Amino acid sequence: MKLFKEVQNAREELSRMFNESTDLHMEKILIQESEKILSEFVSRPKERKKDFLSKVSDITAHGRFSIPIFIVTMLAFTLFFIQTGAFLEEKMFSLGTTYISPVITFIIPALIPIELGETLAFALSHALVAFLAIVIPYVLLFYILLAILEDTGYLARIAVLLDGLLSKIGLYGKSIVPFIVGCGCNVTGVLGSRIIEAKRERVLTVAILCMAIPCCGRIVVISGFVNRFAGPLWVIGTFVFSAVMVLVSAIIGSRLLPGERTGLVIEVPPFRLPRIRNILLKVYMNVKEFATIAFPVLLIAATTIAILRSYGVLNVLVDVFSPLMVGWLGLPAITVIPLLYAIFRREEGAAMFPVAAGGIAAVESLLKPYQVFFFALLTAVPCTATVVALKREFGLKTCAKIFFLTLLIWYFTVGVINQIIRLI
Amino acid sequence: MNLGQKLTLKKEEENKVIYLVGSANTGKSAMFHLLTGKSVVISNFPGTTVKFQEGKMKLGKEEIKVYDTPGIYSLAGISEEEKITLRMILENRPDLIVHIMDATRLEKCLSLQLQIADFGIPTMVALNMIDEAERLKLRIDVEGLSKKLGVPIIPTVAVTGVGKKELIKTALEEMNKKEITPNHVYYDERTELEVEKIIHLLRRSEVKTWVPLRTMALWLLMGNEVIEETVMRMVEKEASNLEVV
Repeated sequence: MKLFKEVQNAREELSRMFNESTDLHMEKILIQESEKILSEFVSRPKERKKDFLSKVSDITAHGRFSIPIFIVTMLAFTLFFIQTGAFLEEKMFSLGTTYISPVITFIIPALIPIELGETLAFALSHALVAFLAIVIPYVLLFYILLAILEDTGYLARIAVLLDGLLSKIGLYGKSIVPFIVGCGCNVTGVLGSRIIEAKRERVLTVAILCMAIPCCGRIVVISGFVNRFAGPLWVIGTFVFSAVMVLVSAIIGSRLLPGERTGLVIEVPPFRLPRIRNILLKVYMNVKEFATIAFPVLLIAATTIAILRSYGVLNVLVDVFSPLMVGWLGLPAITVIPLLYAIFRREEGAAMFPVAAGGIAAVESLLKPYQVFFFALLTAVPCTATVVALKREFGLKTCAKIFFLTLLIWYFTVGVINQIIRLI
Repeated sequence: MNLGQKLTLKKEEENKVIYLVGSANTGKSAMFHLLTGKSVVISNFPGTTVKFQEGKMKLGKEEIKVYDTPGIYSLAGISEEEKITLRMILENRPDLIVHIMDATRLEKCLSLQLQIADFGIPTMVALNMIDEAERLKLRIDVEGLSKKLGVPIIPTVAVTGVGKKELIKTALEEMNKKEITPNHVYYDERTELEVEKIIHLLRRSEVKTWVPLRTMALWLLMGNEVIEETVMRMVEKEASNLEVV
């Protein structure tokens, strides 16, 4: 077309004349102009003493203390998280067993006077107590801690720190942004990956995100479930193992899908004292959103489990998957039920385990600590909401690839570890 | 520099539309929450807003639509956020752009303002985080800056609500202006000559758009993909119309 041809000619002529590309030349004029304006109307104090927050900002973002500070902060947050979580869990548990379970086991059999009523009452009361005790405290704490990290500006500094590490192992610099945004909910991370222009890097980033970046539901499985049934050391172990898996898959993935590697350009916001109001508002919004989606799913999950059990379908399902669960993964056969629920929503896996096993005490006797760890790893398959987001962003084919790839990787890894344990 | 170009603005019956535009982490979402009362994620992490958020603001009996946009550093159309924002502005022609600037980091905001001015849309600046600028003892000549840029500037602190009243009052005045005189940057003589040539061509190819032709020409010259695709679409449409005749 003539217009574009003329524009192209003009660009070439100008770039010959100024000895630089036309867009750069024009951009420079814009920047010069804005610098001129800036110097005319804004004056900075000559030498300002660094205040406390600026000093904190400096040592956390770079320098030799930055990485130790990062590790210590993360450990402190995790320990606080587990300890407070366990405390709240105990309170909520006794609250649930004294007030909720008796009411449900009284009302529902009265309303449905057949065997299904009994089963339903059992499922609902156990699901509700598990939800109240294992899910809610950790969701609440997780969002509070995340909001603090975010609003102080430390999260952006973590991004910078980890970016150095990620680019060393060959991952695209911008990947860190969806990773961090995806903590809390992987769907947000999938959407946040839009900032990565190159398709292949974007797919690789999202695949790793779905596999190993803990969303709120997974945090619940790891902190609530693993902490309750295996102890705090296993919680840290699960986090560390997930981190190692990110590294390994990043290394392998970037070899398989080599592409351009541009660095991350991220604005590091100033260190700020967080505003309590904003944190509370954010936590409220997040927890509300979580509960409005998770709670109805919980009720449906508990009801279907009761119906399936009443009509004997549950046993068939357990039998069919038994070779995979028992033989390959070394888990009790009924684990397939919570794992299926975890595909809908990860935290339902944790809430439904006691229902499938026949009570919270039953889980304790059923699972050894390492099996709890296995279970936590296996719930890392993308949940339904993430799959929907993946399909919308990448199309059915890529979505299916990512889903089955992560499924395969975790089931394979856990299986291999189990076989090794058996040999020893 | 003011090249003396005057633009007549559209007169609309439907809801007026305000876009909150600005660099990453300047407080657009906080401002959006302040104006609309709608809960959005406000964060000290750049890039939290990835899509347009729509909200409503009541002003007297008038209901105004307010949009929160992803953070951008320029309108060059390089990053995905820039493309999305530019496309939305081109398609919807907001009645007012509120450019949220970080008072402590004006250097990253000013060249964006010079580009926004090229739209010829009523624009105002919210000089946000003015409390932090004061803490850092920055001296900003607000009046002088406002005169130079040719847009009203209101100092604000979006998270606490400082400057809200003033901002809304000014927004109303700006939105209802019949005519504005945007300030353009004057590039060098050679570049301006080429710009003139492209303007001439655009006029001849009968590209119909509300965007000033000079602005279209500048962006075409800069190789802005979004503008290229817009022009391409318009020309194709024109061609198909001719075929029908």
